[in-house]
Amino acid sequence: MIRRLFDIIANNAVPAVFIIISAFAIPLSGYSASYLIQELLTRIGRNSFLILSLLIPIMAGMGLNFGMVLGAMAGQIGLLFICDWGIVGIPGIVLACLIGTPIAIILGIFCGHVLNRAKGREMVTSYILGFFINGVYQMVVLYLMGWIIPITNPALLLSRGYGVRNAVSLLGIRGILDNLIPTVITGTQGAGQFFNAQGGNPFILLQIPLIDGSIRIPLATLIVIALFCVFIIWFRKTKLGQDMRAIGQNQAVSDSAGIPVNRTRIIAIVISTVLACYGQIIYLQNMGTLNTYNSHDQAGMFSIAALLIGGASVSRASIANVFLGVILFHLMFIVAPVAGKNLIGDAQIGEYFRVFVSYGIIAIALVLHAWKRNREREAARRSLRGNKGGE
Amino acid sequence: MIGRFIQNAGWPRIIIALFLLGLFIAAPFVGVRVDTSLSNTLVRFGMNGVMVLAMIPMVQAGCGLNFGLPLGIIAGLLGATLSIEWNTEILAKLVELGTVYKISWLNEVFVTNWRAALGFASAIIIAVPIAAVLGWFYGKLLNRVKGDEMMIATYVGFSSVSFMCIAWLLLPYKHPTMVWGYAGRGLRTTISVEGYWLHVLSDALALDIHTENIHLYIPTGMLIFFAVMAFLVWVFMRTKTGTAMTAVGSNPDFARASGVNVDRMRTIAVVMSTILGAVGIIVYEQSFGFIQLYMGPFYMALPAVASILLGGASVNKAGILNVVVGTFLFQGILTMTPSVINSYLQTDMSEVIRLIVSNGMILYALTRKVRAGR
Amino acid sequence: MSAIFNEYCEILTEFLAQWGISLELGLLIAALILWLLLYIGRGLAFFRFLMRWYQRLIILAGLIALGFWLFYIGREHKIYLDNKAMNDYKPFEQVNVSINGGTSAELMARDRDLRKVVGPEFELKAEVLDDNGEIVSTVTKTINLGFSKDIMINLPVLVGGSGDFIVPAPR
Repeated sequence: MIRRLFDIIANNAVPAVFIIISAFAIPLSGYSASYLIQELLTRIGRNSFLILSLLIPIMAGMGLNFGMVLGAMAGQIGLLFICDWGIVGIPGIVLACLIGTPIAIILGIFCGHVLNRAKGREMVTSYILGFFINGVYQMVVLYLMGWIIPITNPALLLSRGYGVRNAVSLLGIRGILDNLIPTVITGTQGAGQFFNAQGGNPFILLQIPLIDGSIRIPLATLIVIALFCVFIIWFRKTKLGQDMRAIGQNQAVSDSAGIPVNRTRIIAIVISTVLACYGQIIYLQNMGTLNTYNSHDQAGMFSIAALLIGGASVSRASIANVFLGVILFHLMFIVAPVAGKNLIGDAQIGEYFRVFVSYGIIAIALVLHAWKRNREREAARRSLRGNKGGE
Repeated sequence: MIGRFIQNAGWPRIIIALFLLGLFIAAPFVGVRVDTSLSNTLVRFGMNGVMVLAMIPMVQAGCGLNFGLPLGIIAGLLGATLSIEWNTEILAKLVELGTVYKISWLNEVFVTNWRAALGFASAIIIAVPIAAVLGWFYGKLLNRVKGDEMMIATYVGFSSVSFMCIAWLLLPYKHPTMVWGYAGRGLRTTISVEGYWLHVLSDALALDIHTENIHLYIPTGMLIFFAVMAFLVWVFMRTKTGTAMTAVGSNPDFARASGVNVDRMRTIAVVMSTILGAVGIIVYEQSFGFIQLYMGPFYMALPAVASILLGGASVNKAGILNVVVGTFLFQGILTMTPSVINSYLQTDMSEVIRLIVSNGMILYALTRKVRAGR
Repeated sequence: MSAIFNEYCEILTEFLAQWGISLELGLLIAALILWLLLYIGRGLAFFRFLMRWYQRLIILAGLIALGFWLFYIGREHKIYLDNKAMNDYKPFEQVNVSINGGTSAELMARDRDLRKVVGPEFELKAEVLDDNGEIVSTVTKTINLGFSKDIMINLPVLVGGSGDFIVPAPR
């Protein structure tokens, strides 16, 4: 009974704490509801896909895939190429995905093999692997591009003639997916202003009297994300998905049941890496600028923190966790600096608090998971001894 | 014979050693002085040695590589900043003691050339208890999460660093050389230790030959300090507690069966590691000349981890020799690649090479088959 | 890459043009040939393991073709409009140019302007004005850029009716 209570608290404590923090911080920030909703919708569109890519390795019992930065790097290489060639619009995004996919697959296979050699410590290994491939990525982008790999656009290259600039403008694909189906919600008064300011007619216009101002909805991005959720739900029911879940439960049993454990694990990582590649492309089309050497760095950390804040654990994560996590994490993201400034008079503190919470939450989630698992192992050992004593 | 040697040393290590040798051989041809490079390597060896040494207890006790080294570093940073904050008070107190107890030489000593050494010692004296307390909690935490230590250590390190980012802003430091001038509070991102204990170890007994043909600088004091610390660790690992610790690392079940308190041993190892990390960063700072706060210690665990692995340690076995060899190789590469490769290719590839070598090394260690029985 | 790529595409297009086949059609035929090969392979049990490779090859070919197509339709081109003297053609007092029916660029004598178009084909409409601001003549032209990137159009040559009005774009 107490154990069950402990489990319930352990499973839901993190989201609950965040809801409480947000409840205090939102009024402190002084933001309007429509502003917050707008920001949240943008961030859901921007980040959800990246976070969803984490789900499949968790299903296969491989923990949080810190190696998703590999996929993010592959996506960025695709984006660099389309920028060089000057491909814009939806074809640009699709082409970037097309170029990124084989790179992501190769990196995913590599990652999978490495993780199979480090069973039981996948997380730390994939984490270090991210750094390692980051080194290789920097070598490729900073030294080989423009020298061996042909990049000709002078807007991309450093003045020395090779190596890509730190900030690359993605003006050609900026917001393309978000604004593919322009959708706006306005209050009764906001509508006229919106038309004046934007010029073009939105494809879908909803009027809800309660809202002040107007909210733009990245409908196409949300549809892509929804399709992806459907894919994950479908994937769980396939043979491969079932195999992955079995491996997640128990590797030895799965192996004796004839499931090719190592191969399935590699497939799980490859899928995750490829999806992270697409996720990063969606993320960057929203941002509009690519920080060649930094954009991918934070992708992994923020995605993992968001997923954990949504109530997921190292061994169990659902789609609901993803969306709850995005909302809570980014609510804090928006609110914390301003709340910090209003409370203590220093925006920097809110900024650091945000970073602290991201790392702290990952640490706590990892500790809770390991703790719980060790307790279960201990309990199993004890019951085994008890049975022997009884015979 | 050679095959056996290669097997013992491991391929990556030999490749990197040959690479370093090649760099030293190539250096004169591209106009880089070998003696200056060697001096730089020795200085950096002394700077980083103690932090690499901090890996030994935890690896030996089976807690894995201490990715949580930033926790120890934070204790060191607290010690360093507090020693500057209270510098005058500490000296005044000691002079007062000197007059009270009629120790006439104390007065002379403290106002003259021993001031720096005293500041340095006070930094360590302040840092060690803080490190011990932090390490104790950290050890208790790691005992609860056996099997996942490394990942959790990483994030304990990260979250403590980011927590301290807030603390550096809020703690009531007053010393004008350390706080932001315009706000009057909040510590600066880098604080110079000049005028306090800059180069206090490095310049002690230092061998500085600066003639027309030879530019050699050997930070003897710093190397001796490292040697003393290494010797202390070596001795400790051979005491009763030390052997028990090694036993816990190599076979916890056997250790428990023979009456060793496993959790206690692990906690001691973690405390030791944290203390060594704290001392290590202070040694680093006195040579480097600056205290780096905020995100400075964030990635400091990785070079230390990479160094000891480069020296031939594995995830569950490490010795003093691994530290010496590894630190020398790693710091050698860090010193040589910028100078040699820069003058050859006209570009700075050192950062990329550092990333690939250090993380490649850690990856290699993590993916090796662990021996059975763990 | 893009230079090599362009050259390759041009060679391929020219090669196919000998039989009057467009690039898209050529790729379609290539895919069909691969598919046929698959059917031959199916009959032979010995080559069964190869069959999957055929299938993969077809998918791969399809994806590469898709890549080419996206490259073709999604490329942004800079169009420099130049109202300067060239080959005995004199610049106009004023010429208004609109591309794909967009807002028109008003170019005085010796002016140069820049417009961007997406996709391989665009329609250019040039209206030549005299001193009084009256439209003297209007020329409409559809230009296909193919796989090339940026071009410059010399308007006096274009309106004058000579074929070589496309000049390499300035760097």
